[in-house]
Amino acid sequence: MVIYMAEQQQIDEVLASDYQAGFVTDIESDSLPPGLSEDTVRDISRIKGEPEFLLEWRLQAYRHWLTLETPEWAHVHYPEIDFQKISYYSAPKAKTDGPKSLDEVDPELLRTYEKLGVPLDERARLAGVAVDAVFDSVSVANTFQDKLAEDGIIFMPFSKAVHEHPELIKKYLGSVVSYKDNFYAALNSAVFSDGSFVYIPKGTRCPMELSTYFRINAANTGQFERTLIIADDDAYVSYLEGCTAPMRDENQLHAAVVELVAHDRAEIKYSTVQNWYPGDKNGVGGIFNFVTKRALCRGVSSKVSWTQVETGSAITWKYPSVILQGDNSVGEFYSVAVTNNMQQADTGTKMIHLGKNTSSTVIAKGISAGRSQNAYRGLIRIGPNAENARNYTECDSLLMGDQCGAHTFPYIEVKNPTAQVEHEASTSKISEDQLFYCKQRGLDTEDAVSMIVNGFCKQVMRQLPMEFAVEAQNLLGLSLEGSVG
Amino acid sequence: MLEIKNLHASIDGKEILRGINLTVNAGEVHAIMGPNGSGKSTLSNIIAGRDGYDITQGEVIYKGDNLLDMPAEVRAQRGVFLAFQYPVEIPGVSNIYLLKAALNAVRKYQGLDDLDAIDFLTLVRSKLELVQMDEQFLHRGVNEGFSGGEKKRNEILQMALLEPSLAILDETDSGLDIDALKVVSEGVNALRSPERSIVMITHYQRLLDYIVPDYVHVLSNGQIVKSGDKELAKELEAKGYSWIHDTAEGQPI
Amino acid sequence: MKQLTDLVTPFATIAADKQLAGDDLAWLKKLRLQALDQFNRAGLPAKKQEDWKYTSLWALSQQDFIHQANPSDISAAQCDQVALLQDSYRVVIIDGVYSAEHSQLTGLQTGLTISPLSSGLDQVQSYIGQQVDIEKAGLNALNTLLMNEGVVITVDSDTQVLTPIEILVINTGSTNNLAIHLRNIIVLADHSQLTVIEHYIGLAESTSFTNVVSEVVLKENAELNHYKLQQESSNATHIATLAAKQAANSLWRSSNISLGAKLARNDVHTQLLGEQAHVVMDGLYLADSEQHVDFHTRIDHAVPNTSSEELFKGVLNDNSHAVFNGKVIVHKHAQKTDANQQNHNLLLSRGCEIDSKPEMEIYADDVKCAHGSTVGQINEDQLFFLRARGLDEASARNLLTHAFAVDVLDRIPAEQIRNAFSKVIEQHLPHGGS
Repeated sequence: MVIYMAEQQQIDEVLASDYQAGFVTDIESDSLPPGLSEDTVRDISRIKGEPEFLLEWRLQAYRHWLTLETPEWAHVHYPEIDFQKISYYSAPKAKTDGPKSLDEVDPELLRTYEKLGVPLDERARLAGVAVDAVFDSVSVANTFQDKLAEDGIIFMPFSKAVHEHPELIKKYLGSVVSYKDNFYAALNSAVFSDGSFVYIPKGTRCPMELSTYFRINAANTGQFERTLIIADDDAYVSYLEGCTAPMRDENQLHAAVVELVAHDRAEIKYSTVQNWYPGDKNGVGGIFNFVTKRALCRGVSSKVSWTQVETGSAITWKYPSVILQGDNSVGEFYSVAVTNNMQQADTGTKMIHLGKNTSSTVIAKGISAGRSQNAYRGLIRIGPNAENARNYTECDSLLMGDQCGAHTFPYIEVKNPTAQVEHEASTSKISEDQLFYCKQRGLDTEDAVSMIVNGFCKQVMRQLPMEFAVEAQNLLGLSLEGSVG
Repeated sequence: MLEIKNLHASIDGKEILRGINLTVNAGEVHAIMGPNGSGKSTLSNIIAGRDGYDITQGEVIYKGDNLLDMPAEVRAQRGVFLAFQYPVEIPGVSNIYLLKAALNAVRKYQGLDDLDAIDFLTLVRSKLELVQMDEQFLHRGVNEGFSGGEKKRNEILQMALLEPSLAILDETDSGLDIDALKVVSEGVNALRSPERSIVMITHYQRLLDYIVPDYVHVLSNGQIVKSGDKELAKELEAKGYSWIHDTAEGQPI
Repeated sequence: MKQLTDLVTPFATIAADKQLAGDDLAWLKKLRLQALDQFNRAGLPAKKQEDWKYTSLWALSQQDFIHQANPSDISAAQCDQVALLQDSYRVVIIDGVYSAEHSQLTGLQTGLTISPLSSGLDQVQSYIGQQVDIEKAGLNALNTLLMNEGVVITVDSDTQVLTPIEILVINTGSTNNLAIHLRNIIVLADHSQLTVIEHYIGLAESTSFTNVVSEVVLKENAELNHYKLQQESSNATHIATLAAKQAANSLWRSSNISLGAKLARNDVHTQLLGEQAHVVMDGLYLADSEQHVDFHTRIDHAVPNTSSEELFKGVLNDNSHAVFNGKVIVHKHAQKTDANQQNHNLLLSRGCEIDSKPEMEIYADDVKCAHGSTVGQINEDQLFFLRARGLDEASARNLLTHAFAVDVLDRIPAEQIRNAFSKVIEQHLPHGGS
């Protein structure tokens, strides 16, 4: 099997390809010194000039957080995080009242987004994408607000929405993910700095994809953004989220919270391409991505669809979930999680069926290479009153190399006899037969593997909006190019 | 075109090929027949470059170069085509995507630019007619859910598109009903040309009624034990493989 | 209110006061002391432990148990009547005590030994406690501390035992709150073959606690057909660990049928330690009224070229609650592992609950592993078809439920045993569903 060894070597070389979003942007920033106390929480709230109710909420969250212990049930291992060494606020230095238009945004910052391929300026209009860009802790640019406002759509930085739409914030903040939910949700609730806020009014179909790009730039900074999206009755919105971070030797913490609320017959499509810095080949540095994402299908016949392509982060710990409360509501979760080198991922979804005739679909594809560990963890819960609930789950893992691991931990809890739940999972490597077939048709190993992997992920990729699908496909290639065994 | 000299190969220490000698000139059609386990598929896999075989002796020369030194994809790019006995399914990868990637890989090797989408589609459509396949097959996953006959026709479609110099058809007739066999044979016959050599590997004589070979060889126990013209195949059909064992055991030609 | 750990003291006292089997063996005394120490630390498992997430031993911890049964006996005819098989070797344990009178151990084949634990302990020092980890599970520690009866079976190399052995454990119900702690040891030497049925049955609706550990050792090329039928009383708590270690080319066929008890928990575990070792791990649970049944299975593929097939099916009625947690672990370097695990459940009435958790942990790449889990109802099309052919709805439902259930018996090679199980299942099924 000499030939096989040679091929493995080639694959290893390809696998060693570099992280391409790893540059550091050289701009001055205002940061809070590292450390976390009630004063930190008060400082953040003061800097952002928040109303009293929000400060109170943050403080409650902080006090609750103090009573919690870090979760240890996930299939991931990392050194203890020292929460006193993290800076909880970092903003690019700018005029105190923030940029009013793109012209006021630091050109260095714009170049950063350009490098990342974010269609921030005129290109944005052509691409039909409205972008909110979050750099470290604050929102720096937000395009198309005016145009969207004509339809009554609110799409703005969270910190701005706090001032302009406090009644909506008060009503919905924490309504899906309570600050008591878990350790990182509590931490986020106490110190979140910015994020995106979206409100789609009744009967409105958002005319363009809304998009936020997150980037952690400053060193020793945690990023704690908070996204809240509300689709009122009969509304529709498709929201895209992209993430990158520079290469640093230190681990950086990203603990976001995303809350989605879908009212009667509303539909929210939420797509993520997560490419946080994964650390180097030996597992030095990289982002700890501990995220709580949850949607509430509150209204009848509402629908929420999560699609995620996770290629980055040293550790990923996230379970975008849907609570199917409204009768006939629909939840979907489509996921590709790629881990390479020393990356660890424990990701999946929770579908909580409460209403009648609710249905959910889960398609999860895990790809592990290098010495990485990739786990799917999912919960399907059918409550006693969820008549005729349906779930179909399929999770497939692909292994590349004999040093990595692929794990599946599904929980199925059914308390209603009319439920139909079906779960299937498989684990395998790319078959030698498939690889040889492609090579016999003239494709080199790299192209053959990339093609087979993309085929493996197709059910998920086709859920992404076109402009994101291309980016995701490239990322997949970059993370793995030609892997196999 | 192809010259195999004293080829010995084994798998996990077990010798399968025990000194194969075979010369195939441009434009010739050769049939290699033999009972199960005689080494037919091993031979085709080694020519195409599948991993897992130990070549213990001998060489395979293709157009003057040592084929055994080349990775599988380079052999393919240089015009060696294997029509698989069991074409594998590749879920999620559309047939047309594979065809395009394969054609462009071959063209790139030949120093040609990629075909643009319109030219490519025109070309593929013309080849589809050859094997009587519907255009919808292009948009299905590679061999995914194809019937046995569809898989084999798909192989010939790829062969027609890639226009190889040396085509090896491994048990292309197995699992085909008579109508499908005719379609596949007509496709292959249409591809016969003075520049192209074809090696058919088959257990039964039936295929040779449709694709008439210039030479017939009998492979037994890892060696070519008898060679002749198409009449040899008929004789074999009539008398069975045991006839070969009785008359030619251990006498490589 | 008592705490879970409050159980320790009474059990420890019992261990000190009671004459336990093998008291004269120093190694065993030492082992029991270790177990006591471990149980003191761990106590009974609580729900916050992942493996006990869906099953509570709270009720068990609130009961006071008696460890010495009142003298009781049953007739030979009664014994024959409750036995699963008539033409077999039979070891009978009544209310926790070995009954030489009812056992049928005459004419044992050469190379086969069967002895009650109480007199066979001296042979098994090297095997006892090897398959179960008392460090991990409090209940195993408890069993090690108090084990007082059970069966020790050994088969010499190259011995094919064609007559099956039925281990018949009868609870007569004459002693309420009786607790029994059994340990079975089954050792098959190279190239040997054996069929064993563990059969637990309660004759009256008394409250009881059965805690059994069966340890299995399969040497190279050994083949064990190992079945279990649990029909304890509807007030019983039945807790069992069944653990095997398999050498190269060995085959363990385990079928585990759980029908009785108020709370039944089975941990079935094998370690495939030699190449070409194969395990078939099947099971069926039928539960109704307030029954709670929990199966935790684990298969460790520790070396290359091993395979496993697992099928567990459940039928739940009334307010019953079932748990299935199946772990398949493919260790590093265990290439060419082929593992398939399936769990299918039929829910027949409002109020029942199933928690299914099929898990895979895979640390080798060249593997073929799959699992599936379904929860559903009787297929309406099939039901309609049968009714259109003249069956009344209740019979049609029963027929389909029976067909769903007996599917797990398919891999039992002996027809005699398959039929016996099928009959027991048919008698147990609800008539008509809901």
